[in-house]
Formats: sequence, C-alpha cells, structure tokens
Amino acid sequence: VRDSTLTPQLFTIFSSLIEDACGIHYELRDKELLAAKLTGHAEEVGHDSLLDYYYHLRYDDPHGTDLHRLVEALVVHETYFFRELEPLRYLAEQHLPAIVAKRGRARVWSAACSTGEEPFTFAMLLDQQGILDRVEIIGTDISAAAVEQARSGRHGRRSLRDNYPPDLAQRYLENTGRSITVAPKIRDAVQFSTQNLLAETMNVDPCDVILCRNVLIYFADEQIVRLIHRLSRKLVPDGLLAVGVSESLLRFGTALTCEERGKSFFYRVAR
Amino acid sequence: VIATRAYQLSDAERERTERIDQLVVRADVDGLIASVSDSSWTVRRAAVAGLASLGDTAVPQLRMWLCDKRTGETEIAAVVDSLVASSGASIDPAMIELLAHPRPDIAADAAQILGRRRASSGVPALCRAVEHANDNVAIAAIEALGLIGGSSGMTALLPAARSGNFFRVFAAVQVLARLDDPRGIAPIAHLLHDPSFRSVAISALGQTGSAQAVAALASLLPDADDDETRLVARALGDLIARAEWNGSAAQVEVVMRDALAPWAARLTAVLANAGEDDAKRILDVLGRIGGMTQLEVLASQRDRLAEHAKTAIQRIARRHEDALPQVLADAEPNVLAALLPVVSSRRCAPAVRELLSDDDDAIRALACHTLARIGDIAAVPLLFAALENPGPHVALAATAAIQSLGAADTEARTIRLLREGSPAARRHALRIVSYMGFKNAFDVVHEATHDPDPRIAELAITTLGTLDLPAVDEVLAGLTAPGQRAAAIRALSHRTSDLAFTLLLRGVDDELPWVRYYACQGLGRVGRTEAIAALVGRLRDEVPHVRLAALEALAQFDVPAAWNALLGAAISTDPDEVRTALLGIGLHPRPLALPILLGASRSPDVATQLIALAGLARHTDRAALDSIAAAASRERPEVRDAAVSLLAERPDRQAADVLVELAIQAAETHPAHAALSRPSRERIDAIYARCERADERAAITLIAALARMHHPLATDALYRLVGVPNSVTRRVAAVALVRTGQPRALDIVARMSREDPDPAVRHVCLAAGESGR
Repeated sequence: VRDSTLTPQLFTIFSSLIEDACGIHYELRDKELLAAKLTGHAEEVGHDSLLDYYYHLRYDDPHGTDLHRLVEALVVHETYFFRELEPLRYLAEQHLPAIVAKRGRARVWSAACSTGEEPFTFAMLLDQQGILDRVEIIGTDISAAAVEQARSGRHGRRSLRDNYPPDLAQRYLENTGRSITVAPKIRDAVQFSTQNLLAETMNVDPCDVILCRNVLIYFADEQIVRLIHRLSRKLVPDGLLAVGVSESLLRFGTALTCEERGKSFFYRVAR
Repeated sequence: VIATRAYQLSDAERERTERIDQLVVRADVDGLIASVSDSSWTVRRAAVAGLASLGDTAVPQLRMWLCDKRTGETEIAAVVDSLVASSGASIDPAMIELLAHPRPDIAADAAQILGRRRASSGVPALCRAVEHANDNVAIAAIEALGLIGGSSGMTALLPAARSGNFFRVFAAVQVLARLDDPRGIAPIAHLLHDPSFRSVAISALGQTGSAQAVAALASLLPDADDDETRLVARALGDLIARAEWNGSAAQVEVVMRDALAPWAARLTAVLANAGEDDAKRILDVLGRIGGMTQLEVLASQRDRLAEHAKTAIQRIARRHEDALPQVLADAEPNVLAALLPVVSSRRCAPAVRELLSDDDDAIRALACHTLARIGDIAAVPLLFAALENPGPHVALAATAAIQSLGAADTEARTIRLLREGSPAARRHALRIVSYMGFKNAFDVVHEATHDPDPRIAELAITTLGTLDLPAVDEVLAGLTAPGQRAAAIRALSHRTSDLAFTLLLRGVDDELPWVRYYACQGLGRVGRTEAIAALVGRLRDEVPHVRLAALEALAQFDVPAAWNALLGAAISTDPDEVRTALLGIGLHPRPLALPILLGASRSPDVATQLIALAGLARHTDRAALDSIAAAASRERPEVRDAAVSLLAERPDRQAADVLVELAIQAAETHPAHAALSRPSRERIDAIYARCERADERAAITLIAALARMHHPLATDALYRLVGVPNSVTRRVAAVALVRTGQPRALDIVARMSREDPDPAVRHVCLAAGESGR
C-alpha cells in the first residue's frame, strides 16, 4: 500500500465507520493495530491508499460486503480455553444445577464468543456436573469465519495457555502440539450462529445465563449502555449476566444490580 | 448519551443559571452564596465561578460566611472553591489571619485555601500551623505546604515526620516524598524501622524518584515476606517511573542494579501472585536489574501484561547481547517474540536464519524483520524462499526484508520469481520490483499486466507505473479494457510526462467512476492549471468520491476558482466534503482561511477538528496558536495529542512558549511533558526564559523537561540555570545537576552549598551534593 499512513484524521474517520458498523470502539492507543488490519484489507480490494479504501467502503460498497469483511477481521479477538474460570465454575457447579433441578432445563448464551473457547469450556464444566444434556448452550459471534472455526472444534495452540486445569484439558481436549481439538461430545453440545450484538434483532430466546465477557472493553460507553439494555431483555427473571473480571457496569447506572456469588460478580435484573 | 447528559441543562436549570449571571452583574454575594447549595451540579458550579469572578468584592462576605454560617458541607466546599479560584488580592492575608482562628474547622479551611492557591506568602503561618494542637489543622497545613512546594516548609515538615503522631507523620511523609528535596529522604528512610510507619515509608520512598532511596528499599529485601517484597517492588517501580519523569532514570538504574541484582530472583518469585498494577511495576524493575535467567518468567507474563513483559525482556537482552545467539537457539516462542525486535548484532544471524523455519508464523515474520535490521545479506535466498510462505505476514515481512537488504542478485531472483513463482509469490515479486524500480523487469511486468489472475494483472499495472522508463506511458495508454483502465490511470497519476497528463485529462470524463477519481487525483499532483476547468466540472459528479477527489485536487491550486470551490464545499452537509475542503483551505495560509479554520477547530466532529488544527498550524497568527493550545487541553486524546504534536513540530519560539505554559498547567501524564522534552533550541530557550520567573511547580516541571532531553544544549542550560537570580530555579536546577552525576555538576553544587546567597539553596545543595557523592 503506497500511502499506508493512518493519520490521526484517517484514524478518526475509520474508527467511526467501524463503530457504526459493529460497535467496536478504537482508542488512539490501538492505532497501529488498526493500521495493520486496514492496510491488509485495502490491498486485498485493490487500493494502494487508505483514503481511497475509506471512500471505497463509504461510497462504493453498496451491500457493505467489504465493510463486513473488514469487521470480521477486526472482531476476532484473542480468546482461550479456561479463561477466567472461577465465575464459570460457580455457574456450572451451583447456579445452573439448581435451575435444572427445579425446571428440568436451562439456557446459556455466550455472546460474542469468537472461536468458541468460552462456551466449550462451559460445556466441559457442565459435563462434569452431569447436566450437559439439560443445558442448551448457544454461542454467537458477528464473524462468520470465527463461528465456522468454532463449529469445527479445532483451535490453534494459543487457545491453551499457562495455568489451565490439567484434568479438564486432558479429558476434553486433544493437544497435538500444533493444534487443539475439542472432544466431539463438547463440540456438539454448543449451537453456534452469527449475531451482531448491535443489530436490531437478537435471535436468541430468554436465557438463564448470558456470558458477555471481555467484550465490553471494545465498545464505547454509549454502545455499552445500549447493549446491556438489550442483553438484560434476554434474561429470564433472576437470570444472570457475567462480564469480564476487568469490566464493571456499576458506573453506567443500568437497570441491573451487581451481586457477589461464589467469589465472582454477576449482574441480575433488579426486581 | 451518558457523556452528554451531564452537560444538557433542563429549562429550570437554564433559568437558574441565567439568574446567577444577573446576581454576578449586581455583585449580589449573598444571593450567589445561597445558590451554592442548588440541587443541580451545573448551577452550583456557575455560582462558584460567579463568586470567584467577583474577586475582592466578595471576600469579606465569603470570609464572614466561612466563620459564622457554615450551614452545610456542600456549601462549605463551594465557598472554599470560590476563594481558591478567586483572583482577589485580599484573600491570602485574610486566610493567613483565619489560620489563627480558635475554631479548628475554620483554621483547617484557611490552610486548605492557602495551599490550593499556592500562596507562598502563607508558608510561615502554615509552618506554625503544622504544630497546631488539632490534628486536622496540622494535617491541612502539611498538605498545603506540599501544594505550595519548595523548601521553605522543610523546617516544619521534618519535625512533623519525626513527631510519632500517626496522622501527621503520614501526611508529612507523603509531602516530603514529592518535594524533590534530598533532605526529605533520610527522615522517611528512618521510619522504615518503625512497624507503624514501615509500609507508608516504603511507598513514600518510591515516590521520591531518588537514587538515594534505592539502598534503603533494598535493605528490606533480605527479611521481607512475599507481601512486603511486593510492596518494595511496587515502590521501586514508582521510583523508576518518577526518575524517568525527572530525567535521571539511567543513573537510578545503575544504582538499582548494584543494590538489587542479588534480589532479582526474589522479585521474580512474587510476580506470579501479584495483581496487575504491582506486576507491571515488578516487570519494570526486573527489566532493569534482571539477567537472562529471568527471561522465561517474564515471558510467562506476556498474556496479561504484553507490553510491560516485552519491554522488560528487551531491556535485559540489550544488556546481555553476548548471550543472545545461544538464547535465540533455545528460547520459547514468547521469549523469541520479545527478543527478536531488539537483536542488533550480526553475530545472531545464524540463529535468526534458523528461525525462518520455526513453526510459528509470527516468529518467522519477526525473523525476517530481524535479518533485515542486522543487514544479513546472506539470508536473501532464504527470504526469497519465505515469499512462498502461505502466511501473509511472513511473506510481507520477507518482502520488506528483501527490499531493505537489496543484494546484488535480488533483481535476477525477483524476475525469476515473477516468471516461475506461485500467484502469491509473484505478487510479492511485483512489490519488490515496484519498490526497487528494477528496469530489467519491464518485459516480465508488462506480460503480467495481461495475467489471467486479476490481482496479479492489477498489481503489475501499478508496478509498471513505478518504472522510470519512457515506454511505460505508451504501455499504460494502451491498457484501455474496463478491467485495466482504473489501474492504468492510477499508475499514470504518479507520472509526469505530457502523455500521462493528456490521458489523465481524458480520464476525468471516463465512464468508470474510479478512473475519474484517479484522474482527478493525478491532475492535482501534476498541478498544471489547464486541468482546473475539468476539475471544477467534476465537482458536480454524481459519484461522491469523484467529487471529493476533484476537490482535493483543486486544493493544490492557489487560484480563485479553486478557492471558491473549497469555500463552497466547506459549508456542505456532507462531512467528507467539509473535511476535504478544510484540508485544502488549510494548505494555503491565506488570512481569509483563518476564521474558517478557527470555527472548524471547534466542530463537534473530531476528524474535522484535527484537519482544522493541522491547517491552523501553518498560520503564524496568534489566534491560530491559541486555538491549538486550547485543543491541547481538550479531553479527547486524538485532539489533545494532535494539538500537542503540532505545537512540538512548529519550529518557532511562540509555539515553544505555549508548550511551556501548557506543561506547567497540565498533569504529569499529559503529552505536553513528553513534547516539551524533545530537544530543540527554541524549547530550551523558552524553558530557560520561563525558569527565570518560575515558581516551585513550574521550575520542577520545566527543569525535569530539560533533564529528560539528555542533550548537550539542555545540560548547558541546566548549568546556566544555577546562576539565575531566581532562587527557586537555582535550587531545583542544582538537584537536577546532581542527578546527572557529572563531576563538574557536583563541584558546582558543592560550591553553591557554601556560597549561594539563599540559605534554602545552600541547604538543599549540601544535601544533594552528599547524596550525589
């Protein structure tokens, strides 16, 4: 790309284009990261200047195909098995067994699950509790490519990092050194589909638990409020929303109350 | 929604705010005081600002209110804020008098006001108040002395630190740590022996940023448990961060290595269970004192603290370059990913070449970059092989490396690859031709313009345009098929021949929008006035980006037709059109452009603001500079950073003066500080001039910026500053000089400790000189 400098001006117009499309909010510190992605995609569609590429996306992409392709590349965030395990343990070992015992079935939604490591981890924990067949697990992501990879159950070696629980990994993951494959029972227990969290319609039935972890950090405050409002409408009464350990909703004044359960924090629709 | 809610006034709030304006006009102090308890934050702030704006007029009533009414905490805070913000000359004497008020709460408020006003005339009274029988008054006085800064409060602060009264010691230690006075360190270190104050003293020593504090902190490690080790590590992290700020990190690092190297393993051991903030600081310290044995542990932190771990690993690697070839051969991917960007010795070349066949794409790409950086021409054949790598990052890195290394046989290898390689490798070969301008590749590139793979054909056309051969224009002129025209015109838009110009002019009316777009761009680059009419015609093009390209091209011409087009577009409803117009308006610093750019610099759209500011940077008018300065204080980091960067890039003294004032006012995290410490004669002169009349805070800020420059002219300015009439500046400069560790500096400061006319300067120089030695 001949003119690949992402000037502050270009950074601003690209970041607002992307935020409008998928909610991801780029901070100035992410400029280099965004520049690298933009340059690659600009080249792919035959532009040797980022400004030309911007005009292409804005004025010459009537169905948003190339914008969607760019968004797909931007939203595949790093995720890995057994990430922030404690809250998942509480939900799988205490919260959901009680619901299953009472109602027979439960539903969990892993929103923006990327390549699926989180819902798979959750499925492993539920299987250990013997209730996997009574919990419907839904995994969604905006990226069709990420969803495709999730469905395959095959992951790169970075999907398994230090300090993982060896018993779970040994039982449910096959590690060849170059790739990691999820056991078929776990892979088949999760229903994956594409879903833009900012889209008008959310094709998910009310859930007992929504996992939306390490997602909000990519959104601007305004989008977070909107998203949380929409997610809270997808919770059954007393349903729980889990966000990442470094994320907090308290400063937004949403309709959710924060509760500490089993050393982890969850959000519930205020009664 | 959230961001704007706080600033949107309801009708009732607006009505009350307008009433406050009327009260200010009537100088109705009682009415304003009554409004400081309004339920609306915005209205309360308006009342406070109104009271402050009345200056001395309001002081008697505010003082009386503070002494006699004090109807609620909110109101007290508001009245205090008003007195702090007021410009009244009678406030400081009034508050000094109130310090002796029999009611402790009133005396404490007076101390707070004096401190926040940085009223140096209040120092003697505040020093007395440090010994007040009431703890709240004493603590308020200590904190006020800290805010005022300077050494004149030391006589009171040192005894307070030794008083044994927990609250006073705590406050005094916090203040001493930040005063930048070497006399404060020993009393803090002394508190390490007292279990009640130990943790407070550890943290405070970190805040000093002084090499003198390192030994005291290190002395705790032999007996420290994990919790205390983490506390010490956190303090050491703070210490080095502070030393970075005051320009003495290199000297502190040396002291740290001497004192702490035996404890690197101990600090490493507490890393795993440290919280994120502590871990960052520990990594920062380990990077400065650790050895190669720490690399694996540091690398294990890369998932949670990527940048800090990487920096730490790189610091260690730079110090132990001899060991790198062996480490590269055995290291884990995490370590390699951190190490490769800092490899700079050709001795590592064989080990790096081996990494071109690593399993991990990221490592292979980094190896390519590394081989380019160390100039390993022998690696070129391997890099050509890497162009066939399926991972785009590796192939692009190999392409960049080949372009950078430029070996004798690169041209022949590239041409061969272009003929025989895989489609992806052929595209990389075209990029190499394009970058290197290999004329012998003309035939094979020409042939590739008709390749069945459209991506190769398009790239070949672009590449052809980069070859400096007359035949190229003819070939490009012949590429008229719909699938080729846009690429051909784009290639021609970078060429300067008459034929290219004729084709561009024709291209402006082409049926394909992208052809018209590139033609407009090219005509703008060429800058021949015969193109103006055609470009003006394209301003009515049905395709938005063609209109924008025409506008952008017209901006290159300094003629009325172009100017009128830009003015028209500047008031368009399309934000892209407005931005493009502003970009053009900003290119030519006409007087008429100034108001337009000033208006746009306040646009709600950030990109528009940035474009306007870039345009304003070309104007020498004071209003333009003021507008950039105002933008440098805005909240949006994009705007703030761009404005600071524009100020730093301007070579004139006026801009340097603005940067100096900005840094004095701004928090230490503001980018103005980094910008001010970029060496330039204008900035050094501006700092020097301002230091001659600096108060404590300004002197510390500005002299730290000089010290961070690490430039001979800046060091020379430091030497000159110890001779200026302003004793505050002399004292701060003397401390900074000692931190340089230069023998000449130590001699000068030793002489100052005997001969300076100001006793405070002599005392500080004596303490600083002792610590320096």
